Amino acid sequence: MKRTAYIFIAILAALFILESCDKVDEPYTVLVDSVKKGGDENYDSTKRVVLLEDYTGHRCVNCPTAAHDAHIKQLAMGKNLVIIAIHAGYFAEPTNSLPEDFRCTTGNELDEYYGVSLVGNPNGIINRTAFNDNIILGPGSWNDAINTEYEKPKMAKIRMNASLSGDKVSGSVQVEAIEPLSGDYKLCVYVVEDSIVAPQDNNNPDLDTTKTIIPIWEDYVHRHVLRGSVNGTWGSYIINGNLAVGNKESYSFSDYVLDPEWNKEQVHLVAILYHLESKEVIEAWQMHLE
Amino acid sequence: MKTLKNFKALLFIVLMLPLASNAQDVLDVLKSGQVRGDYQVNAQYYVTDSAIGAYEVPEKFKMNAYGNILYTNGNFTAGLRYEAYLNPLEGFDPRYKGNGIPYRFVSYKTDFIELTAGNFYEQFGSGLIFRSYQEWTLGYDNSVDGINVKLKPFKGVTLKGIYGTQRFFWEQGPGIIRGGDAEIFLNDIFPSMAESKLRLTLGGSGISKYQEAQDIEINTETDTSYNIYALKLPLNVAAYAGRMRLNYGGFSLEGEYAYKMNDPSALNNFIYKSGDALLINATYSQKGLGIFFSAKRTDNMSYKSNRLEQGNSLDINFLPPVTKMHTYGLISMYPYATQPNGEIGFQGQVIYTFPRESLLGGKYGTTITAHYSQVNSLKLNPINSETAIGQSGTDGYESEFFAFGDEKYFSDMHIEIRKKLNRNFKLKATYFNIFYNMEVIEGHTGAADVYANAAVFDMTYKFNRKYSLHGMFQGLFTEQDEGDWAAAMLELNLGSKIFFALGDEYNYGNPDTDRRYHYYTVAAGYTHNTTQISLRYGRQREGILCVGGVCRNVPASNGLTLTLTSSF
Repeated sequence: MKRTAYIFIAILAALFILESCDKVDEPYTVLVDSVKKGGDENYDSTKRVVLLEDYTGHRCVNCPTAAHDAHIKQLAMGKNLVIIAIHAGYFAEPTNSLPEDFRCTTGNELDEYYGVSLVGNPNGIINRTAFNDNIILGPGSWNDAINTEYEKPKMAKIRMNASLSGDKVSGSVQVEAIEPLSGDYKLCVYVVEDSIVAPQDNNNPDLDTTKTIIPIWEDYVHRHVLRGSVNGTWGSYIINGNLAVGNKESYSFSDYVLDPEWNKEQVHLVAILYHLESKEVIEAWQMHLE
Repeated sequence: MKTLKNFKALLFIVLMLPLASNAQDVLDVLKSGQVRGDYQVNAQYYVTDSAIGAYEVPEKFKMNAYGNILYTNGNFTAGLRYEAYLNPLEGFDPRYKGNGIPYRFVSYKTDFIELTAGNFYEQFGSGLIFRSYQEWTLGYDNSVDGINVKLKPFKGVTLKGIYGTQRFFWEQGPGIIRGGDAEIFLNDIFPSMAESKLRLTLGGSGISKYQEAQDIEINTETDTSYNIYALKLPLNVAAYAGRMRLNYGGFSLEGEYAYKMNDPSALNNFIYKSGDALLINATYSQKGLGIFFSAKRTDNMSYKSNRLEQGNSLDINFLPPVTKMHTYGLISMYPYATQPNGEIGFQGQVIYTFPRESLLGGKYGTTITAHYSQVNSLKLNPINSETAIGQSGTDGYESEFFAFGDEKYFSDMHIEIRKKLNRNFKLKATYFNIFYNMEVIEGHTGAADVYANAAVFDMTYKFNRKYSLHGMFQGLFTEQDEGDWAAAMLELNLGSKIFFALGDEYNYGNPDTDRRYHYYTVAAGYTHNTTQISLRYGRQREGILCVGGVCRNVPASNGLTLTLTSSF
């Protein structure tokens, strides 16, 4: 009798398992956003500006797909999403067929701190904040993490101005508290160069069906390449202790020298405001230099 | 802290003992039990060797270690495993960094029931829909933390049920898995078959995973707009399998078919196609002859308890390789890695021993092994003219079940002759012909296919009952990748306690003459009862490990390695 009872329970359990499945009917997707090409950028000044740090490399065959998806997300979000492409680790090393070296000290230090390239590429970090207990996120998680950060209350507003004299950049960054800020905060000012045309390993032929782009995409457009930092990888103190709503703090810099190899027309400055202890980014901002 | 919450398990173990009126009774019960265990330490001191790409390791010294303890008392067993990665050895996932008790369990077993609470390893059939296991050398562990129940209600019937979450480094994965398996040995069920030479086993299993909803979007563009679509995700994804095993004298045949429901994931580019797999193994053996044949087809059978995981973690199932894993250093440079998104392949092997005193057998007999294995892509067709193969948010593709795709992934042909030449000298000579699709297997787009021939001479000379010299000489010849290699290794065994080894792998045929490096090794070891300690100094080649859409580099290294193992 006892054994029969166990068998009956086992059969019941099996039936439950057999029913534990969700068959999804077509269509499998729901349109959530659509942005016309050539239209104005979407920007909501009441919402956070989110930072995506895309750890990549020109030897990384899956990275163009991830970068393409991130680019579309940025077009949909406009200025509310700042992307930095950090070339670091094994897949960023130059080779005979990929001679460019997009690595820089700042990118290497960030990569060493977060250990991203040891896990693999492409991977990204959104607002230097863990999402579902993971700070290193595969491309499949980027949109979800970006949306989550975007929906958090806006804590601060950043504005920048900069001028270019020859190869030297000078400017200032102003931070205004939208919510009370307590604790210490630092401000990073990074230098990013966009639209660098150089070869890239690639395994997705659908990214441009007008030409052959595998195994090497010869005229690949590298976006948002991190070139360096004005005030060091971890930035400068800007808020000590607290900043009340409406109050502002400023950071100024002068005579940062751009590498003459860079295309000044494509150089952007990216400001990142982060909480010192947690390293979480609470606001970012990007400004085109010219 | 990781160990703190696990300390509660130790407390639980103590509290599970029958209540005793005084401490002495408790001690008596404890003493009547048995304690067993084993441990292993792998540590390396890293030497910078920029010539081979072994860059400075800031810690200089890294270590992976574990210790298992098992306590058994009658029907009751409890155990735990402590692990420490301080910091993880180069080539191991840095997310292992830390130390703690990631594995602990209590178990109660009788002839009728075995119940385990805590971490466990289990498998249904060949593992096509469920297998949890640990492989220390790979840094792989997908143990389930939950409940495992095994029932034997009648002779010949085994029922299993599992429920839990999987290990993800020092955390648990987000998915919950639950499943069951039933296996029936018909010869025990039907009295008429009890004495039959035909032995027949049937089995069936089902498993389901649950993961919370997530916002997963796919970004597309048309001529006029950029569009973002959210995926409608199945929260519960089930898989089922049926299997059969037949034995008749020296002949055995086993087969298993598995089916998986829609499972859009990062690894399959979020397609909604169902997955399936078929595995067939057939063997025949008699004195002096063994024949083995295996065939496998898998299609979209990656099955993880986190739909976003692309690395080598959180696999619910196991897709067995249909190729042979080699242990010789140069031959294992081109190992085949199962392609989770789909492949079709087979392997066959014949082992024949020419008897002693025969013409070809000689005084001691001669054994010849011939093996061939091959794996190809599946034959894929688009589902319609507007949808690319593998496009996210669609059914992905269609595939003809028994058709081989045009792209060969791997093949391995080798012939081995094993012969004892005299009382002291044994020789094994093997010729290999290998095809290796580096672009697919390593994810190294643009890499040329590797066509390699190789030979290995493996010989052992016994000086006497205690002392022997083992020598291995290998050559690998290819015009692709890094070109030709030669390797030699000598190992002197002094009884069963001490060994010394000296080896070198030389990339003499590298097209880049500046990279024709020697990878030398010296090693020594000592064994005392169940404890073995060995030291190795030398270079290790660099490699790339790619799983799913993410690749990581396994760096070259140079330094002193310590390995310590023991059991009690």
